[in-house]
Amino acid sequence: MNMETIEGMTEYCNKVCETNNWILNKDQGTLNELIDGLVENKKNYGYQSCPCRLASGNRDLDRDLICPCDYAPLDIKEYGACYCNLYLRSDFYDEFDSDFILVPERRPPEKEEAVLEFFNK
Amino acid sequence: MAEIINNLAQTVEGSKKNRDITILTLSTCMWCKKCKAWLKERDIQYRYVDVDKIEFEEKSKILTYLKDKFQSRISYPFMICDEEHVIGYNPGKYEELMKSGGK
Repeated sequence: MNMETIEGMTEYCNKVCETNNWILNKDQGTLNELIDGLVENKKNYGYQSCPCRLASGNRDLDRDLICPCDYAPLDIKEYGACYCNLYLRSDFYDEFDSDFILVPERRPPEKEEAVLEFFNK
Repeated sequence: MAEIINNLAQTVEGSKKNRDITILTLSTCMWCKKCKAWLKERDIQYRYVDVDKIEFEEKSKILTYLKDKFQSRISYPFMICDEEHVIGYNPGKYEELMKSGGK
């Protein structure tokens, strides 16, 4: 699959859902924006960094942000949605009476500090 | 406001200008787009900087400024409304801010 295309990235995200028993956001406009962001990041950085977080462009520093990010499983389990609301828990639409969930940032602050240091060099 | 932000920010015109609003955004971020749309729908004037589209040096200056000024983590959209700020897309807080102050 070519993840630099909308179709390829959508296929990838669907496979992530199958593997993890998650579902994709059913709001088509939201989903399209999120997939567009992932495609853009894949083209710019070479990897599908989380579209809702600032990537450094350094793969080692951004490794935890490559979609699905390291924090998605816990966020989806705890809040019903990943940080971006791209991936949702399979029971999301039965359990939550909201269009979106504000998921707090779980990424350790040290990771952001490392990125800032990288920008400073 | 930091000079670096003043230099980089682009203005989106609106008829409501009673609050000085700047948002730090990512061009790829759906929540940032929702934030811009929220302001636009209410005809509120604002400025924005797409932080992922600027140079490393500029990123460094802006992030350092935000951390020092607001002593908080930086997530996007990061809205600065006069002296207050809201982290993340939060229409409820935006409503409160728009009602609460202004010149």
